[in-house]
Amino acid sequence: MTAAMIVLAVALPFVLGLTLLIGLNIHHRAHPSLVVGTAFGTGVALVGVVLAVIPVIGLPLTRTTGIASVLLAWAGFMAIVRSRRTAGVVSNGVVPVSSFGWGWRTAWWVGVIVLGLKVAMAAIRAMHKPVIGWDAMLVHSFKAKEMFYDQTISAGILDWAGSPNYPIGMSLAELWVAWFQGAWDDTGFKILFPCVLAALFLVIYGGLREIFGPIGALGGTWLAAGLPFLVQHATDAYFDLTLAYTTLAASVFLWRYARTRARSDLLVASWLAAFGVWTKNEGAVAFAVDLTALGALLVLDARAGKRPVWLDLVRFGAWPALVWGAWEAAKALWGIAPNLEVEPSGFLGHVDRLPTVVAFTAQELWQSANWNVLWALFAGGWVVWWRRSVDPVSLFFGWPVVLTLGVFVVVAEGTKMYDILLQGVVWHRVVLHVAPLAAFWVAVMLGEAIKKPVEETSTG
Amino acid sequence: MWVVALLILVAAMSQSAVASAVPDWDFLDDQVPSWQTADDVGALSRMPDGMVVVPSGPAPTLVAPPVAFASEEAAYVRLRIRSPKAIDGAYLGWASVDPSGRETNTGMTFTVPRQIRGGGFRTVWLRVADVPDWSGEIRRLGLALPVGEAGEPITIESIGVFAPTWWTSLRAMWAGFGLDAVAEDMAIPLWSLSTIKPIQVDHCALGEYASVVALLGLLIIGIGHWVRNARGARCLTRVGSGLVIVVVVVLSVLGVYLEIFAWRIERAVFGGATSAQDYTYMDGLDLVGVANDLNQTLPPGASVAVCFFGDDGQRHIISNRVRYQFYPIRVRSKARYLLVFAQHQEPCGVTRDDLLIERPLYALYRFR
Repeated sequence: MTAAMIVLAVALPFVLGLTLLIGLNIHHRAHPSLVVGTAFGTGVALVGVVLAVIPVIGLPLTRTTGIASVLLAWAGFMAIVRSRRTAGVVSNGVVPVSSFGWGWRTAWWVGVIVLGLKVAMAAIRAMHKPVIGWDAMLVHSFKAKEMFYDQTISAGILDWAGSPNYPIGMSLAELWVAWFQGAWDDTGFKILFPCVLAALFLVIYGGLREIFGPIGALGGTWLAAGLPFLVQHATDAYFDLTLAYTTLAASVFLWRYARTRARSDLLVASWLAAFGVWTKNEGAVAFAVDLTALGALLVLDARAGKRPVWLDLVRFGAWPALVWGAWEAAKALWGIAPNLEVEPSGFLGHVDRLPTVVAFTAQELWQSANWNVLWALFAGGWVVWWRRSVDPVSLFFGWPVVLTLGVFVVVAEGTKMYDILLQGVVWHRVVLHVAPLAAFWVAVMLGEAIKKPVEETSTG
Repeated sequence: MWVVALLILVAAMSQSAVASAVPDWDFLDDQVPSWQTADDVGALSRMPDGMVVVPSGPAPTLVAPPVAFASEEAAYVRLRIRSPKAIDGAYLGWASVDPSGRETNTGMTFTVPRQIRGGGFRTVWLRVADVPDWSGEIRRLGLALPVGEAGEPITIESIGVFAPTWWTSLRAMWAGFGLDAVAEDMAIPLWSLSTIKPIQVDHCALGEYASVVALLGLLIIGIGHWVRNARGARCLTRVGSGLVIVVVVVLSVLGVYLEIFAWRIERAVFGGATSAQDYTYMDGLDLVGVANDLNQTLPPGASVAVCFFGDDGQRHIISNRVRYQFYPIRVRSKARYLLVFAQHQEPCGVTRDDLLIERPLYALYRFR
């Protein structure tokens, strides 16, 4: 019974997310894998955002109010998304599996089955051990546990758990799972993370499938699926994998927007970026980078003689800005200070740290055994395909990796994050946030070098 | 006349023995005869859970009742055994007779892992078909268990000889994953840490080599763009792509293998219990004290986890705060992973106090 309720706890957000995407007509315009992979994040984001509003309007944070509010909000969102729906037909040019010979079909099925087993194994590993990670145990799930018992969100809870300025979107999703279980369980909510892993793989596969055949898309997915650290994070309850997922999915939909100019794609990207902001503080960096990339795309449009829709910057930025602004306001109200003081003098006064920070970064990318050959391919890719540096795929996948790592190099140089860097607890997780982006970029570049796209993807 | 009949009968029995199914001794069944004692066995008895061997010397030895089967009919011998401690150098021996009538006595060594916590049996699969002298007709089987000194009884639930079927191979392969392993199996006594390094394969180094190959592959593709000859360009692109694909595939397979390895270890440590209430987390394994030595001994970046099994039956899992690896079980590769187990009140080279600076339990696990 408990297992069934845990499954229901993740199935319901998935269904809600799926219906929202269907409301946007995405299911007619995108590959099914992309739709399914995005649906889970969309639904969990709905849960995470809506549950935060309940205490604000003076209601207790209980299972009844929670589920009712989420369903109510879902109904409201359906009305919004239907006004943003984009007509169109399914992306053509996607080669069906059946058109391959038996050899390729077998290879594809083996690849998919092993991928499924990998996710299943991550789920088993996640569910047969308690939460172990430091922040996962003492900050994130602790906040969820307190909210479960106290039925509210308060400065006291956040403060007592530690690191009160960390966003609580995923903690609220953990609370949601506990509600379905009926009691707090230190392990049950971890079901979320293998689901995030599966959704990540589906987004990569679906995104690539829109320009490659099944084998190419699966190969690109395995480029990410083979990363040991990525899978490791699906077995505990850190939020870094979730941020990696929202960042990638937002970029995939921005990339789609670059091809389709459909507002529905922009809305999905915005919603996922907003949940990234609500998942971790680093989500704000990811959002800022995406906004910059979108701005660059519009500038390139203007240079090419097209008429850029500058308002789309606002459309994309609205949801993340709203979430970020509300959270900042709440923190200001509760007197919660940021955990990093960022001051210009700090950056100028610690330039001598820069070589150390760069060395740490290089060590993590090249010598950590966390990332297989990803960063060799990424670095080599820039050398080989530098002419494509302003292509949309580079704008939304390649440059965000460089910019994000660049931002963190600067932050680590100028703030107390430097000490944390030296302790070796943070850099691998920062790299995790952008690793799927790098894998996607490499997959597109390499795939196009190996084989021309099957056909141009249609626009919706 | 009777003598001729008897000779025919013996020949037929012998023939049927060779052609008959390979032997299987299930000692839970009272009708199945026990093996016979040979050396260093104080007592051999039948209990409800199997055949119990009480050692009286360093290497208790048992001999099977007479057998006769063709070696090619069997590929595996499987033991279900319970031993209070691991037995290195256990020996399965056999006598085989080739068609010319020459008898050969040989065997193979193996390790009997210690019993599963709570007295569970372990399953040991031995692939005898790969031993060159497993040939002809197998006439005798024997088992030596060098326990070192007379100690607690060893219980054998069953000993079976298995035909070389795909199902048997699959079962043996599955057993090879060691999913029934317990924490102690993977324990590395603190005093033997220095023996670890030579036997490890450094996954990190493997990744670095693979990175170089992948980079070379990409650069070959890049060079292909500069070649004006279309055929040459295509050829270079294929070579470069091939290198990259091979590297990615190899590392992906390795990644899957590591998942299985991680699963195995976590299963052993956590035993399938999912409630964090079963565990007591303690902050502050002070590796400064213990393992300034350890850290000098271990490969750089190794993660260390210590799992204590205290008198209260609770598992105390302490993560490595010195290296700030908060995952007690962080399996990225065998090379960079080390799990140190120490059982309270058992000699482990250091005492609990040497290992720990205890602090109050996390409030996370307080009862509401």
